[in-house]
Amino acid sequence: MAAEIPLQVDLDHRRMTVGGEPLVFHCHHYNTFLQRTILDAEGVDAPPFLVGAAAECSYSQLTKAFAELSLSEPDARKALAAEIYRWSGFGTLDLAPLGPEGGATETPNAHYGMGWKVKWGLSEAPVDFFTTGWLAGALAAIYDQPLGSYRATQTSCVAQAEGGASRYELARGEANYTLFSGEGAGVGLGALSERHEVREVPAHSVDYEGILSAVAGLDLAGDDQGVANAFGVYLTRHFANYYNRVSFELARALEAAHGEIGRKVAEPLLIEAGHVCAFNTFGGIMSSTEWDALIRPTLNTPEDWVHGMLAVVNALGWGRWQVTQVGPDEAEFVIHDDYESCGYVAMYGQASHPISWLAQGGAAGVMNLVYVGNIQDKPALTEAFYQRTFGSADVYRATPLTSQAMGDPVTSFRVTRS
Amino acid sequence: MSSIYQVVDWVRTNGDIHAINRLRLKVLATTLKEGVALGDVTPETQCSRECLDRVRQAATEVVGKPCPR
Repeated sequence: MAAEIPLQVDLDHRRMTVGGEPLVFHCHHYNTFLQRTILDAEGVDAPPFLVGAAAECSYSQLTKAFAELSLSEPDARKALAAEIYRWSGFGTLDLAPLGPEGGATETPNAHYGMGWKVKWGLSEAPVDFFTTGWLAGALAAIYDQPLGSYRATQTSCVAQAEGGASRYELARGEANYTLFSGEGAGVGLGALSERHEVREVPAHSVDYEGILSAVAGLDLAGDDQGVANAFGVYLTRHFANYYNRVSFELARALEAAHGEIGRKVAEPLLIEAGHVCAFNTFGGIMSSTEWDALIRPTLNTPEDWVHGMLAVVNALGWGRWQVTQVGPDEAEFVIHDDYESCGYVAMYGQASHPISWLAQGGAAGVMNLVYVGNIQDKPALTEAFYQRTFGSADVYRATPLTSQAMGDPVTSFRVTRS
Repeated sequence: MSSIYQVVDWVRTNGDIHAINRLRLKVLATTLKEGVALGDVTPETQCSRECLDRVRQAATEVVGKPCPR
């Protein structure tokens, strides 16, 4: 019998956690676009922090989950860890060959390798930094060791060949990746507001609470291969703090090396990752049978489509999203407890500049899908269509108005045509 | 293509909508070392042979086809 996932849902804050770590839905398009951007940065040694971020998250999540469920035996812990990994859509892992001294494990089912191959083609080198780090953190948690007790290496990857497998090797010893929080790893939900001061929104026909409840009830877990194939994408229920850590570490590394200009060169691509996410995941949702059955019949105007999509976003674990003004010329989005801000403040303290790049791209992405891409007509969500929509002269861009990471009560954006 | 301006122009013409941003990130350290801001290059912008080779190589990777010499 599969271990039960200790999922906690906090509808008030629009968050979900397992083992105290916030989880957010994202697809393989976003995951691989973000990772490629990070690896692209010249002069930044990214693999250590890509691996270290995953180790930090899995260690934090599993130590707390084991404690919550009073699991003390390694076999029971391994069963729960492997089940959470599969359920999250990351693939499948056999943890049985791994012992207190380490070992090796191999799988044909790995989200990052498969997603990379589907999106970018075969890779010369392994690309699954996430699973490498996840394993290092998981093994430390399973055997009650401090984070950083295992070296971890990926020696082959699903992305390197058709029909290939991903192999990971672990050994006791000094960590060969960045250690972020030492023994007390993880920042959990971070700087969450006590409660949301919900803003007034213009009249619309969307049942936000009904949609939130219905979407929260959908089965979006990984299947037997650990694949969550939904809305035309490979979905993951991923660690918010993994995205946070790797995005912020990239920006900080570039700023340390080159000053503000370094960060500013990366920002358009981090925002673009949000466009990619919106186009594929939001576009897939707005073209789905579930949307047609549940939401589309209630929509009368393009503005209702924006509200309808935001009602779904509220079920993704991204915080509470509101659109307080919307029309074909511009819109204003307000986000309470966006996961980027909550994570940034907990990891680094108050920010000196806006850092909610995913949210910025996502807000513009909704507007582009509805008003430029006419998602209402169910266009095929191809790369060529993406290029046409986001390369249009009428494309919408989002500008930060406030930032919760900078101390404002909420994060907000004005979205206008460029 | 004998100038950095020509390479950037080639990427703008042949690459997708984020090609220029990717190129800037891929050659950030190389270009800044020579005081070149890739977003502001003009036909008069000068750089070393090594820098131009690196930008051309990155342009090839970003666009997915060989950048003409």
